[in-house]
Amino acid sequence: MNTSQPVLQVEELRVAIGEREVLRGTSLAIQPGSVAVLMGANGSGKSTLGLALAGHPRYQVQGGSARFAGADLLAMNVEERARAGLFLSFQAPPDIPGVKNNLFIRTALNAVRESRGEAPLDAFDFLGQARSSAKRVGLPDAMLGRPVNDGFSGGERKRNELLQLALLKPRLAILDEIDSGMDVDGVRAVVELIASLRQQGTAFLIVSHYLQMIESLEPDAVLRLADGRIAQSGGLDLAREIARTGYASQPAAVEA
Amino acid sequence: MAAGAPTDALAARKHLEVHGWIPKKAEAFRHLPPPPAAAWLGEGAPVAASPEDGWSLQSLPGSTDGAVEVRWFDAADAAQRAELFASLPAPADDEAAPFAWAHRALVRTGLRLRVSAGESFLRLDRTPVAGVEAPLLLVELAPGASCVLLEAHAASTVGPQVQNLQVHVQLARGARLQHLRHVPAGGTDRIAHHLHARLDEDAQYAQALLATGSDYHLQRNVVVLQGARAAARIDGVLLAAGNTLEQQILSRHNATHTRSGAEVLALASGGARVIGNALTHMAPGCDEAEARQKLAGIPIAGNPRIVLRPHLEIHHDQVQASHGATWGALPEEALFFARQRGLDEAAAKALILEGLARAALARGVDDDALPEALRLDAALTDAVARHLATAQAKEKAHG
Repeated sequence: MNTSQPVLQVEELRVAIGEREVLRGTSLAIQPGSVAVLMGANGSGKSTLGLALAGHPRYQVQGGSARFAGADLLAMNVEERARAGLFLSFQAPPDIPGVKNNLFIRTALNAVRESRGEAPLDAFDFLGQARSSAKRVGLPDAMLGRPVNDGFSGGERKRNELLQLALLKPRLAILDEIDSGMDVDGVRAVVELIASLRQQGTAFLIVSHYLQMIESLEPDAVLRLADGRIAQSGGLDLAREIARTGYASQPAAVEA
Repeated sequence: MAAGAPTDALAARKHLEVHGWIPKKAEAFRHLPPPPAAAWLGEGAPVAASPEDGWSLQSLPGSTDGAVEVRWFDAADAAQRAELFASLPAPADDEAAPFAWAHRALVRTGLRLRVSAGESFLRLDRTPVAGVEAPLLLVELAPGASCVLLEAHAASTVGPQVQNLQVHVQLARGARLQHLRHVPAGGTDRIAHHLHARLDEDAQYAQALLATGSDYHLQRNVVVLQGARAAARIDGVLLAAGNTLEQQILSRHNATHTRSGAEVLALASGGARVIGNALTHMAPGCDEAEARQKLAGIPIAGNPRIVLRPHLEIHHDQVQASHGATWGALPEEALFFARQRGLDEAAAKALILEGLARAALARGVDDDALPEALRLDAALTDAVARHLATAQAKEKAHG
């Protein structure tokens, strides 16, 4: 693992949805180019962590801090976080009727490029890149011309998330069950894309229950979230133990 | 002016005097009462210089040669007026009839498009030629003929416009008309468009309307499904920022296996009043008829009033009908998703709104590519951008 300054440093993060506190003091650090796998039982707060870090308005930060590439992540609005290089793949990506996929992704990509002072991509250049990336993640070309996720199967939606990830090349990608709904080829595409982007410096926080994929990713860390806190951290052995024994037999989070 | 024409026009005016204008409590107009009769009669208003004024027709590539017969009528000429009105029904005995009588009193010109066979792709532009006007458009398709018609209205650039337009569509057996309509009203305009469509057996009518609000703006459609298996669908995208807009869609099923669909997407901001009004009537004996109404309203900013009124009148058992009205905010998850990809909130809103509207228009004509091919798509982008800019400016002005 790279030992430079963490791209993401979360300290004692507490997050509530309405009256219910879901994260109760989560702390973790992710280095550039590293892969951390986040595991945990249903309802332990894995998705909440991703959505809160991405700035979803329903997830209210009650306390703690999060620094992203040295800046105060929690002080930024949603798009500022995205433009700073934080990418969240959705467990259930929503559809956007009437907006063509290629237009949506190009608009997003150019918004990010503009924020970095880079020239926008024209439609022709973008399409070349998009087609090549779509092929890489196994998404048919025709999906580029269809409305975003409209009528897409579960697996196609996930591949579409991968396409956006490949084109946006973020600093940190939080992938929430990216493997669910994917066939074998899709999971292979996930692993290959992560390996490639990791080489280019992208860090990953990956929520998954699928041991075979976790092993393929060769993660730097495996974290177990329980009751809104990181209850255990380790390597692949932890993932294998969880796969073997389940979450019920794991130790509870240590009270601070 | 030839003898006879004034008599007919005066008779219409007399009819209005005797029977009166639309009462304020008329059910069909109670949420947006129209301005009084005098506004539509245009005393002293200049008349069009020639019958051709205002309309501009273009035949687009792909049209069958010689399939379209175009004729302009001078309604001030008795013989032409008689011919013009010969094929049209008398004003119906309904709450909107006063508009029809006011139209007969003022109409100066009429345009008739007859499509005899094959496929036609037409663009029809309308530019206002008088402060108060009552244009007339007839679209007639012969058996089996097919036509795509873009009817594009230009907002007045020379001050407030009052326009009482009557459109009559007659589709013979097996004819098919895809009708795209763009009506961008100026803020102080008073617009009333009345479309009457009659469909014979197996005929199909599909309309996608993009309209913006004004001081008064009514889009009223009455579709009569007269022949078996006739099908009609009307979808409207209504944008109003601080002003008014109403769409009425009345579908009458008079035969077996007929189908109708009405969908309205109302996007409103500021103190706008937008009304989506769908009424479907199924007559006795309409075996296996199907009707669907879907009305949706999204307040964008401020405190707009969106009234959605789905109605079904069913007088037969063997039919299927559904209706629904939904009021709601922009889809929150889609908005967050777009922002998470880097779009700022305003850009994300515009993109999503435009998408919702584009999808509604495409559903209207059952063709994803048609609105874009006829540049209705570009008009939509422009209309949404203007709407959001106006809404934002009004919000700022009100602190």
